[in-house]
Amino acid sequence: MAVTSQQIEEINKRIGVADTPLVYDIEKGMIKCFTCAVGDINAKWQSDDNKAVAPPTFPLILGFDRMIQELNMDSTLTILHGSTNLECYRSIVSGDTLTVTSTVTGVREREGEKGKSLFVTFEIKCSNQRQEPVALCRQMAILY
Amino acid sequence: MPPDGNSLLTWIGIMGNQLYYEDIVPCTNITPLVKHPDTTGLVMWAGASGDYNPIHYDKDYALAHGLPGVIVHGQLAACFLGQMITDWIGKEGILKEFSINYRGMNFPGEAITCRGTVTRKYIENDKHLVALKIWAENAKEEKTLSGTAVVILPARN
Repeated sequence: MAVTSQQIEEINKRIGVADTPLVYDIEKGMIKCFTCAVGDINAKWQSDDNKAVAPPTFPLILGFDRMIQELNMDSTLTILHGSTNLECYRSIVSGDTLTVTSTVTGVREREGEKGKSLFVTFEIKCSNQRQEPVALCRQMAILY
Repeated sequence: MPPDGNSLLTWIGIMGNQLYYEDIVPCTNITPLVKHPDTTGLVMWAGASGDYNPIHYDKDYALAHGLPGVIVHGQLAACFLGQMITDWIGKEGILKEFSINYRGMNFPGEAITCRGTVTRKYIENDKHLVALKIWAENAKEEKTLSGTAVVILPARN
């Protein structure tokens, strides 16, 4: 299904507007769920003081689901992932409280055989309970 | 005893020993990682990540949207590449930057082979950095993800 003009307008309105921040209380179980899903059993994901340590790719999941749902409000579009760029500043351990803000940074239209598709870029910033930056993630999604 | 170059880096990865900046030789390969995601794994990833896009678990939906079937979440495959790197750099290594382009689709039941090679080693702001080219291949050896990464390694001196 091609993207409609109304959908394009709605997404364009979001450019540069930060979403309401999401707050995540990072529990051991959340990190374990992530490492189990990846199949990553590295001992380094457990700290000496018995905390769970998140793999550096863990921030990729924070706020991503909400952004995808918001880009596909009426669930009519197909969304594929175009690219991911992650900058890691600090590690995440269980007990951290993370604040995540996401912003659409750009929208590009492309005419294809089946109609218009959209290339939407967005960035997700993650900071911890000490207001220290933890990660910056830039993503590109393809909607059609 | 391990020789220089690729074999040394493979040995370090397999043995779980710490990799040091001095060990790195540009153009050598990092230890590959092979994954076999199945549909159960995709459901686990959906639960862990919150990515409930039906193209990853609903075959009828995927077919209706022009896909050949359900496909592996791109970010799950990206995390496989992340695991390859963190396995390789050891406990003291740090992943600093990680960029991925999703170029093709991976399907459940098929192997994904993660690979990488060292492109550069350099020191910046007193940090010992190693740049990598990374990619994932499907069973036909087609690159379905490709990208770059930068890691920080400890130095012996």
